[in-house]
Amino acid sequence: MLSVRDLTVSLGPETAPVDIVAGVSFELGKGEILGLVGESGCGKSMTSLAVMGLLPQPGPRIRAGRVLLEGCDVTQLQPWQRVVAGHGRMAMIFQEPMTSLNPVRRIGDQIAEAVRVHDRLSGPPAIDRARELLEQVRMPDPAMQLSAYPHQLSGGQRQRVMIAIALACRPQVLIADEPTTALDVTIQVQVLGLLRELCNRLDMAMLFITHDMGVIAQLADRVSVMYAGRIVETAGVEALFGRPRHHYTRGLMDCMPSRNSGARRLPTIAGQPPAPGTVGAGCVFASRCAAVRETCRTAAPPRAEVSQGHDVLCAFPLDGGEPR
Amino acid sequence: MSRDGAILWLKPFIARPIALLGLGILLGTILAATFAPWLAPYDPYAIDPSIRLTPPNALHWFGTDQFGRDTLSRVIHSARMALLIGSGVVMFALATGVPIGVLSALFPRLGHLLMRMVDVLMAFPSLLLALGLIVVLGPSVANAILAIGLGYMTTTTRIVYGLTLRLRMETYVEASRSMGAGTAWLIGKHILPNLVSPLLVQASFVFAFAQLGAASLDFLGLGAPPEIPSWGNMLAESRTFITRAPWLLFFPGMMIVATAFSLNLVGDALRDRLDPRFRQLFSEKG
Amino acid sequence: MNGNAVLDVRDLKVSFSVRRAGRKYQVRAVDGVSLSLAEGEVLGIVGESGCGKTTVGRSIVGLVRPDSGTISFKGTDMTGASLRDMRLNIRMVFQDPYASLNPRRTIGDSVAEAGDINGFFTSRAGRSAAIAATLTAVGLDPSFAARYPYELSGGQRQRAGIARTILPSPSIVIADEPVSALDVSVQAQVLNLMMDLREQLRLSMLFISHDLGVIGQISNRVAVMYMGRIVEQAATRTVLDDPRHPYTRSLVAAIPKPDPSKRILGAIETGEPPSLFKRPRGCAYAPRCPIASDRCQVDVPELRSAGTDGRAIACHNV
Ligand SMILES: Nc1ncnc2c1ncn2[C@@H]1O[C@H](COP(=O)(O)OP(=O)(O)OP(=O)(O)O)[C@@H](O)[C@H]1O
Ligand SMILES: Nc1ncnc2c1ncn2[C@@H]1O[C@H](COP(=O)(O)OP(=O)(O)O)[C@@H](O)[C@H]1O
Ligand code: SF4
Ligand code: SF4
Ligand SMILES: [Mg+2]
Ligand SMILES: [Mg+2]
Repeated sequence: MLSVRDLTVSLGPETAPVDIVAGVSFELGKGEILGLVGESGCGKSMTSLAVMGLLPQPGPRIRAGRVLLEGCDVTQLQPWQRVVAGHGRMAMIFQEPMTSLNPVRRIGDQIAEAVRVHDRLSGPPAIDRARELLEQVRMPDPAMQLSAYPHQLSGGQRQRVMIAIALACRPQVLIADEPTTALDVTIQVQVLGLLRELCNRLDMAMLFITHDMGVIAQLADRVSVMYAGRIVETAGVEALFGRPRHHYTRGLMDCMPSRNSGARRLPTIAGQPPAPGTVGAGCVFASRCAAVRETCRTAAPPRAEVSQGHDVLCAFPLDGGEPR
Repeated sequence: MSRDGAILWLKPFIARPIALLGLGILLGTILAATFAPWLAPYDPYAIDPSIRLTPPNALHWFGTDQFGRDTLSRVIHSARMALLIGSGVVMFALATGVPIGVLSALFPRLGHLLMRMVDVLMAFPSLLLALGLIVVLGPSVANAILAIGLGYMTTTTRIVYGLTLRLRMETYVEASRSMGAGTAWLIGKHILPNLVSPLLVQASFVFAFAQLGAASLDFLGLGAPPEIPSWGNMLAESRTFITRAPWLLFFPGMMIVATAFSLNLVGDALRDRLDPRFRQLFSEKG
Repeated sequence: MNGNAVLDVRDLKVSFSVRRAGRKYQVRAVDGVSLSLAEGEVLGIVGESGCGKTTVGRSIVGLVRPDSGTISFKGTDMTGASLRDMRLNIRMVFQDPYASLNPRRTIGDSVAEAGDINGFFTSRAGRSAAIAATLTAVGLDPSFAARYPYELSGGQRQRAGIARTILPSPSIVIADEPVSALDVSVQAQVLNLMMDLREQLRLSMLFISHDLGVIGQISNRVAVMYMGRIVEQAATRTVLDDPRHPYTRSLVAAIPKPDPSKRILGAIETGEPPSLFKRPRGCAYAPRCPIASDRCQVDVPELRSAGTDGRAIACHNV
């Protein structure tokens, strides 16, 4: 369905580009949820904006790579071509619902506007469709809420409205960039449940971005772990949590307090991620890796498939023998 | 200041050539004001009826006026009045606007009262306010500064008030209060240092608009005494000759626009220099 | 309640007047909170956004004036105690490491601020030495003293924010979501630092967080807040392993566990978040509570002790 190949997003001049996303590839099938996890600044948002064709201008640009939606390279299309060719069928939801909604318009009108753009409906039929969408996202009392303003809704309800707007174009692919980070756990679990259900019911694929390993474990079918602009490990969710093979993935899991109950001190990953543009020839994780060897610093590690559907960007992956 | 430090200060100007132009015009004006007697080719007061209204030529680059005085010399000497009025107005606006704005924001009860008064003053167009004051006080340079300054005191107060209201809610101010800081500490260590860069920008605006205000007052005969050269006075004296001697309006008019314009550019660049978020961009090596 | 408590808060009530749609409302952010902190203890406060956690902390350090209630430090009511003594003894770490340091002051000046305000330093050399020692204690190089906040990463800033609260060393630190804005790997570093400092300096801590995982790592006891009240309080492991109050149960159940074999999505019901403008007459949790009875609609449940391990619960039906 969606296939991203060697996507590279760069800043700076053509002659000396700084890659903030470097050769990211992933595949997303019908109804599948791919989790993209990584620390702040590792390039998750830039990846999703590049896939959507929404990179901020001026600034970062796609320097190389392809984004194929059902075989058609959308990076080559103008925005209007995307709509005309029916390739507008990707939608995105963001972290902070309040900044994406117009504070002085009723949410019914805002959803209806999205309906008008995509379904060429207007007037009462558009409002009907808006109510239907609110029902789909399990908004309590949808007919009443059509006339509410964003500030009258709770954070979870606002995120539901954002999802309703995203669903207005009947997307085949939904990209969700940390949609629950601003929500309480009790509300987060509802929104995650809703997204899961929508993917199943509408056969929609989703790229779900987060920095929270717990959320990934709950929601995703497959997971890609991102570090310093690269995907360092991709695997099915059971395999990834059961036997992480990249040293960074393992480190991330070990330092989560909830996986560590009882221990006096939390294991940590020493140091900080490298700033974009400062990575050398070798492995990007070399400066923090406990298992680093001499070759890691000089040669870029190969991408190796350690088992069916599980690949790692590491020259010396962790032993797959002992499950955690 | 070390050499590196000096380069750091110049960087925002180098990165933006138009700001460098602004800086050049400003420095030129200051130089002209300081060295006017040496720079000016003629005595700005010397009358010579034989060369009345000569167009620009090799001897008199900017031409002469209806009394045969050298326009270039008068334009150069006028820079003194421009700087005097500009800095006077800026100082007056800051000296009144900053304390009123800061205290109003920190003491809501007092602030309520003071900001009402500021609102009343702001209801009058600033030129009208200035004219009214001059009518009451009589025309003089000091009164012109006061009259123009009053108009900018209100805008400065508003800006300082708004900024302080926001700064007061900053987490670091909260943190300071939680450690027992008093009002004087908060103002000195947290509020004023964060007001510096916005005030620089505001000062540049005030200086720029003061030029326009002073020119208007001079033009109406309510500013600097007519015998003192100033760009506004020059415009006023020559307005009847606009068709016969357009250079008499062109050169002082251009100077008014140029100083006003350059101050805006300089203020913008200075703001970038002082704001840490911008400063980071300029302090990166390479 | 507790004889050797360093901090004792009794029946704290705080309300704010807010404007909504042209009308003025009086909202009660904290509605009768009592808690006590023993020497060297870490008490976690957990609850949904807006339930009043921060307001409790801000009241204790004197940033908001409570409507009623008492706050006493080592047995003396703080309204009567010398203010300076209290300011240096109870300090607060703030959530946002970016907003809590003045961009125009050096890290050294920020770290020394409490001492400077209260006339703690007697010489410039002594001040510099104290700053260097404090920075070292939080794992920063002493050269950071001359730097500005924008030169630091989030984790380094939060270390600086912590350094500011331990110079001079206090008795109590109120930590308001100190690691919520940090990435997991940095979060672990900062949590370890806080645990070390607590031991070295014999600090008592009020640790506010919405993350039960973090709370579970650092605190001895947990108080769960809902709409301005404590609904359950007990030893940390007791709360996490055997939550009893219906709200605590749903809170614990909603934690996304990093284990794909224990999926909870769609399996639990957590209800709509409350509005402080429409406080129910009886139990505040009644509109969301699966076991609410008639009595819950009219009667506010009081916090009462339940069991021997110091557990207290505010619920009519458990
Ligand atoms: N508009 C921009 N101009 C320049 N650099 C940018 C821009 N946006 C992002 N970056 C840089 O690109 C890198 C990746 O940023 P991105 O926002 O994609 O990370 P992220 O993983 O989504 O982080 P977060 O979790 O904080 O949102 C970072 O180093 C960031 O500083
Ligand atoms: N200064 C204030 N003015 C008005 N309302 C406030 C103020 N501070 C907090 N509140 C309200 O009090 C409630 C509790 O706030 P807070 O203690 O900050 O919650 P938490 O820290 O648990 O997220 C919230 O509903 C909040 O909106
Ligand atoms: S390639 Fe080397 S440095 Fe990089 S993760 Fe693997 S072992 Fe560590
Ligand atoms: S008092 Fe009643 S409504 Fe409140 S938590 Fe207990 S059972 Fe539920
Ligand atoms: Mg992001
Ligand atoms: Mg809070």
